[in-house]
Amino acid sequence: MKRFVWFGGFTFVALAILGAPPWAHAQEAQPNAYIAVGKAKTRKTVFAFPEIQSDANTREAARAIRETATADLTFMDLFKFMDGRAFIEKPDAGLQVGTFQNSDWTSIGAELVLKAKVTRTEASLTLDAYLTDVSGSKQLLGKRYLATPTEARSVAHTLANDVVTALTGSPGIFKTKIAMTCEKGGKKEIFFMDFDGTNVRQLTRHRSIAFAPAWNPDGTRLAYSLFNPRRDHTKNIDLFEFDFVTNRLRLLSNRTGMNSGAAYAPDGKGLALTMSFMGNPELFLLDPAAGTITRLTKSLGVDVDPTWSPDGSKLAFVSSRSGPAMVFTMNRDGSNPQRVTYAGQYNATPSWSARGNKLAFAGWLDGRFDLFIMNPDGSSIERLTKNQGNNEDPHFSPDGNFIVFSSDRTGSKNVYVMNADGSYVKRLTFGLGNCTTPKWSVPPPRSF
Amino acid sequence: MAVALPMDARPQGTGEDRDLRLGLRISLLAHVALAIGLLIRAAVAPPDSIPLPPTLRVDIVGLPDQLKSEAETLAPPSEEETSAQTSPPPSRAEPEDDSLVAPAPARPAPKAQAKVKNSEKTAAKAKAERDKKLKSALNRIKSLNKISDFEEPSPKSGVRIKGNRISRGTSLSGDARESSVLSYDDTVRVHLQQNWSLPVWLARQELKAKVMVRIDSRGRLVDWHFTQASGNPQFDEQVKRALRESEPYPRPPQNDAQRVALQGLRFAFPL
Repeated sequence: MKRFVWFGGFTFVALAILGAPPWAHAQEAQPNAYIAVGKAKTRKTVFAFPEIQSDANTREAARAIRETATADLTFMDLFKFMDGRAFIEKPDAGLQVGTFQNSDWTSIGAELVLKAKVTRTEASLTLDAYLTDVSGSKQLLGKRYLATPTEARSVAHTLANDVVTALTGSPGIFKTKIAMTCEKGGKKEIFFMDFDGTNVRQLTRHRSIAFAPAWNPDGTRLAYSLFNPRRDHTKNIDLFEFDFVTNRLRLLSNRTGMNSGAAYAPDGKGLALTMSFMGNPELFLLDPAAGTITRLTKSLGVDVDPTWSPDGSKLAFVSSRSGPAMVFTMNRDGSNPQRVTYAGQYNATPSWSARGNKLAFAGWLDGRFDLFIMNPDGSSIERLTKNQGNNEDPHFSPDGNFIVFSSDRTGSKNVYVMNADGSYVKRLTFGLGNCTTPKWSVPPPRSF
Repeated sequence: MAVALPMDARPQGTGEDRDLRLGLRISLLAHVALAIGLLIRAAVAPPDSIPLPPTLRVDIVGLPDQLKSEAETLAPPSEEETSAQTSPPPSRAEPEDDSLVAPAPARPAPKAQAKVKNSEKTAAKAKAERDKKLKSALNRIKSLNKISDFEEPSPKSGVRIKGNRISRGTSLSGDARESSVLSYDDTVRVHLQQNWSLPVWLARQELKAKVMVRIDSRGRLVDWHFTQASGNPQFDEQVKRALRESEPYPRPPQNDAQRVALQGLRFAFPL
């Protein structure tokens, strides 16, 4: 009897191990796997931006705002702007949802309508703007902008930023700046300009070689390296920082050798840069507030071009520790260095995208530099430029949608911008000599 | 009187010995029970095979020499895409090389009645020989085609891209039943893809949503819901639009209709 009990017990255990009875299992079978539909076809949204309502006093400001905002939104490469001659709406129609007929717009194929009105007092300019999704009859944006009468262009940039934010959730780039090194008159100086290549200004006049600019996280300071003459008639590569708020220049590091390739940490607490005061060029973390430096790399090769991940937890850089220069990543404290590129003869100047999901870099291939993009682990490498001269120094826009870079496709080196997928290339610099190492800022808190 | 016992002899019938034997029996019974369980399970309900979609191996051999846009335009269709196509291209039935085929027999002359029988015999013989040769030629062509299937694709059949090159993969699923189920799911995926579009500003945000759809035997959308919404109303609206505009869906095969109507299909937009 005892043996039967044992046998029954173990049969039960065996079935328990094997799982539920087969008939029950058959009912439980569920297809839990998701089938990936794949990448969507993309289309540009049909955008209607009728004339801004104005009077004789504000007509010029209205025209400037509309032109600037249209140029900004066109730069985003998101919209197809409708020709004003196609509009059928009556001039007395309102600005907000419910005060105009949606069908006046949907019938001509518009999807988004931006309507605005400018009024002016002696001291101020007021713009009321409303963005409506006419297909869903939904107001996406409704704002009033107040400015001095001379700030029409700034108002337009802000409006365009708000339109982009209302649609994408991320801040627009229309108040951002691009800094770069330009060689004019045989000397390399730091220049900066608006995101679209307008409003170019020269920052430095050292009459030496100033290079490798880097914006701080709030766009108010710019670090750069300079071949700085010393009393013994030698030149050292020192690191400087210019503050746009106080208009002051200060020396950050003049340790013997290189102090270059600075990149501000996203939290603003220090800069990663290459220093060679110990002999071999290595990466260090410099904290100007505390006056400390922390060594990040220790290798026999040359370690340069640091770039931060947007969360500040990692750094990508270029190292020749394994032979040809390749892109590596490591933790913020220098631990866990990982080689992420293996292809190409050598690779340089990585840039981490704002969303943290991509790294762009320049790769030497077939006797010239071209731009590539990949996942931060080195997978999914895609080519962005080809057969257009040398293309170098990629740097992502703060919204991650664009890459600014330098190219000698027209003979001399100039700064260009393109979509992050390599499409829609646009030249930004003209007549500034050879311009390289462009760096894109975040929108600064105030204009300068 | 003392009795000499051999050195390796152990006293029998101790409590320790009984425990050992009991343990051995328990172990034996457990193994037998496990084996019986496995046999019953295998006999009553064969295990559901795991759906394993065909897998492709990708070799990174260098930096890509094609632009992303070029690679997307020119890359040969994936295995999944080709499987979704209905009919394969017709294979060449006739051999190109004439030397492999025997010449057609000459027609007998009407006046030469005496020679008719002989010529008929000769013709039959020639026909048999010709059929034999033709068969052999076709077999050779077939085997040549087979060999060419295993070769690397020629530049004409698809663009060879240095870097990110997709090489011939290894299918992990050899179950015909599974592949038929997958092929319907894949047909619906391709159908959905035709109506799946986004404004650029939405596409750039890299949003994701997951849905479950139930389709009846006539291809009508019976029911659907988000199992995971993107959180962006406009993106979710575009997913809804794609589902709506994809009606009617391809009709599910009879043997799969119940699964599609009751359990439904799960789709991820875009991944």
